[in-house]
Amino acid sequence: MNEISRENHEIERLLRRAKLPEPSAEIKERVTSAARKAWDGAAPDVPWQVPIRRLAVSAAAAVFIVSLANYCGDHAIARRQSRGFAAAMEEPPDPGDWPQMPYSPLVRHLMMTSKSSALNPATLLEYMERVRQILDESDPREAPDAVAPVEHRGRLLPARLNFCC
Amino acid sequence: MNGHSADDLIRAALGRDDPGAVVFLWDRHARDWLAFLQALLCSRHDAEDVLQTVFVRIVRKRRYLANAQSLDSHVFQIARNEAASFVRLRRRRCGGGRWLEAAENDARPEERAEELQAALAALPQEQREIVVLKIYRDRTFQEIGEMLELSPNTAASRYRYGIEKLRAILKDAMP
Repeated sequence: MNEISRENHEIERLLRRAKLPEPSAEIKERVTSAARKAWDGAAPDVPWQVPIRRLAVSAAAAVFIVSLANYCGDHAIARRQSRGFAAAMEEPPDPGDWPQMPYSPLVRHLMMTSKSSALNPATLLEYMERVRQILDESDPREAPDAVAPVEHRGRLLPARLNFCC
Repeated sequence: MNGHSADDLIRAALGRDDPGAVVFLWDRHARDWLAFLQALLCSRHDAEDVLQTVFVRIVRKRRYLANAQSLDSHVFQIARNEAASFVRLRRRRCGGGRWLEAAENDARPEERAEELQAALAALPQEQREIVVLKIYRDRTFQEIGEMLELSPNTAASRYRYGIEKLRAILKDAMP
């Protein structure tokens, strides 16, 4: 223990053989004049401004992220819709053209059954029209154009806020 | 004038927007801050650059510092942050130029200074800063603890670990 302590003292003595140079007058002049320039140039940071500034930066970042999410959402919905219409326009392939596969009679039977039970688009449109008429009759105040456009339904925030009367 | 009353004067000058506070700050603290920055950056030139930035930051935050309980610990924190930004920008942690001077009575001053600099640079930063403040600024562990917001015991144990590492590094250099 004493040996270690003696060696530690030796190390301290060795370290003290060097010294840190004193700051020169030149550096003092440079630093103090830069500080004085800053003193004269800008208003000091007021303590309450710091959290306000952080809040403003956070709010700006949040608005940016929400706008980006809205844009991506609109874009994705529009793409999915156009793909859905294209798929609806396509004729289903004729099961007679299919290559031979195991259980093909069963698969053909299932396809024909599902095809016959599928909704006819004309019937569906007629049904929607009827539903809309019923809704219009039941609530005359609600204008049909009050429904948000489909491409804006994915928004996190509404595109327009009607704060005013 | 003891340290606390000098700091009170500096705080008062900062509070009444007196630019003379800059000179008070320099006279009272610049040596400690420069030593600390040299310990962080292992370069006198870089430490002087960062010290200038620290003074400018103090001036900008003068209203806040005028009401701070411990001026020293806040400024050491500013110095640490500025040194970290400097290291990030320059991508250079420790080294670059001479920051220690050998004593005049040493037989081989240049070699000695380089040897000690290299040994200190090999220490972890938190040990190096305490060894430098203790050895080269003659600060007590109490004072170092107040500056760096550590308990005196933590400062003492970091110093002890640092000295033990230096003992292993400088084994051959010891008389």
